[in-house]
Amino acid sequence: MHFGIIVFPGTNCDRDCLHVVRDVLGHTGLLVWHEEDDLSSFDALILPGGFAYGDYLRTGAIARFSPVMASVAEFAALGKPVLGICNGFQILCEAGLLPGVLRRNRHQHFVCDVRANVRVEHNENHFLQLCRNGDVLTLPIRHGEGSYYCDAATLRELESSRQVLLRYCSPSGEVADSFNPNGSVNQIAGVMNREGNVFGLMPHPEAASESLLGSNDGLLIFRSMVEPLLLGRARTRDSGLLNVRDR
Amino acid sequence: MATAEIHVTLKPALLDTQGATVRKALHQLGYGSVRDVRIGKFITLEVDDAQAGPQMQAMLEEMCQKLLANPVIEDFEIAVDEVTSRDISQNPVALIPVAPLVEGALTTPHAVTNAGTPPSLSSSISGAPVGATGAATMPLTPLAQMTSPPYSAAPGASSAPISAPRTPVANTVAGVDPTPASTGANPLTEHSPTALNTVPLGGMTPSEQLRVQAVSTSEAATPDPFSIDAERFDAMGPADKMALQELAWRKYGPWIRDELDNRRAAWILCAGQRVISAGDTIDSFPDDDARARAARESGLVPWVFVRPPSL
Repeated sequence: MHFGIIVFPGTNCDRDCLHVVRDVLGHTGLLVWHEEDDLSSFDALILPGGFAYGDYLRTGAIARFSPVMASVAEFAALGKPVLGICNGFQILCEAGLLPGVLRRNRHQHFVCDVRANVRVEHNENHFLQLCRNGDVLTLPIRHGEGSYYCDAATLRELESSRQVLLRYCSPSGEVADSFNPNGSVNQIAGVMNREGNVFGLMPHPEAASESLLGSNDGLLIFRSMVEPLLLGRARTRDSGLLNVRDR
Repeated sequence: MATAEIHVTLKPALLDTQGATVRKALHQLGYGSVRDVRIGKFITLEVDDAQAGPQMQAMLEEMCQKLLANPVIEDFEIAVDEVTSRDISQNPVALIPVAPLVEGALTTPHAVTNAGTPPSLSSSISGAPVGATGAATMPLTPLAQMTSPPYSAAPGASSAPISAPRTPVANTVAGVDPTPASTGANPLTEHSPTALNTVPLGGMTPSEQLRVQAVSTSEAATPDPFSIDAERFDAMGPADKMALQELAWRKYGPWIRDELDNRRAAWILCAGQRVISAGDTIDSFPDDDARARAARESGLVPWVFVRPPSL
């Protein structure tokens, strides 16, 4: 699979994503400057973390108008996979490719936690298909504006359409406000679009894809993306595709 | 050259944690009388209005919808100061306000993700606004004009027009005296309900006369959500009703929140600034009959305010 990793002025997690795609996954990837408009050679896109345009005005507010974003929108409209990580998630929301918005953390602090826990809510999609529902992933979080918000009607729709893919939780998988680092509604850490091809999450899977870094749970997400969609087929731990955690 | 001044504010139903933090800090400094703080953004744009042309107002709105505000969580108000622009007497129609209430509230880029149920026609449900982006566009009036606090002392007195710059909520609680002397603004363009009647129109330039007329027109056109009578409300279009709902939260937000907190309620049913009933769960939300009864007995619009989702 050939990954396009979009780089805006201020993006800083692009190389980590490229490293995972190339050196850990063994697939191919390219860094794509935000002024490019031809994304046809890519099979999947990643909008990585960082501080695009310095988060000026609102995080992601200016990045969403970068020249490349029109092509990203077209790419998404064709049903191809788009992964937004942290700042990438914020940009996808501002661009309207995902519903809702990321607001300033409830306690006004930038939160940095190398071992935050999120629970897998729905795995019948191209991003979490190698996980089981209820699995707890340990992923780092580093953000000042990660509090997901959408209005009551949108929230109802997201929940009933199974678009909420990840929620903050305790190490044992208990979802509650006390384990929510930023005050997001319903403890939401990641959401997917209705069509199932655009996924945004606040934690950083690219920083947890090698056990050397303390957790390789993030690799489950990248692996899920490169495997053919397994919907409808039996998926078990013995199928050979799930041996990605070397714990 | 024209100066556009844009206020971007958090939608009233949203929790403002930054504002809450600042409020606590003010309390620590000894200013215990500050009940609420909400923080927004103030953006000024210098626009070449000759180049922008007659579409300038629409252009400014577009800028706000697309970039300067995020309609999911923010409202915006635009005011254009044309004091230094072309001679208004040549084109006086430029200053007459158009459609004082919400324009294009349902046509934002984020509208597709905020699918909501429209308010029922006979009464209004307020609370976390559903689908309403509440983009309030002000007619072309200069920001120098101050308004009286939204909590008018005289019941039925015309309230602060939506066209005027929004005073911080803190001011209203402290009961700021709205007389011209306290605002420090230009007395000729100064406006308060009383000042309008005494400013000698003959002594003003044509552009100033038009501005005063513009404000009084919009003031008459904008009703107060708590004192508008039910019949007039029923006659309003859905977009205007939604705008009025937004206005209710903006003007009376602290009172609504206090009532919800004091009663530990999930919702309150009000007619005018008076709570008729409250419920501790959303399951006991008042039905059409309850709201119709409230409307009949008071002759006012039965508003239901729902506690915004807690964080």
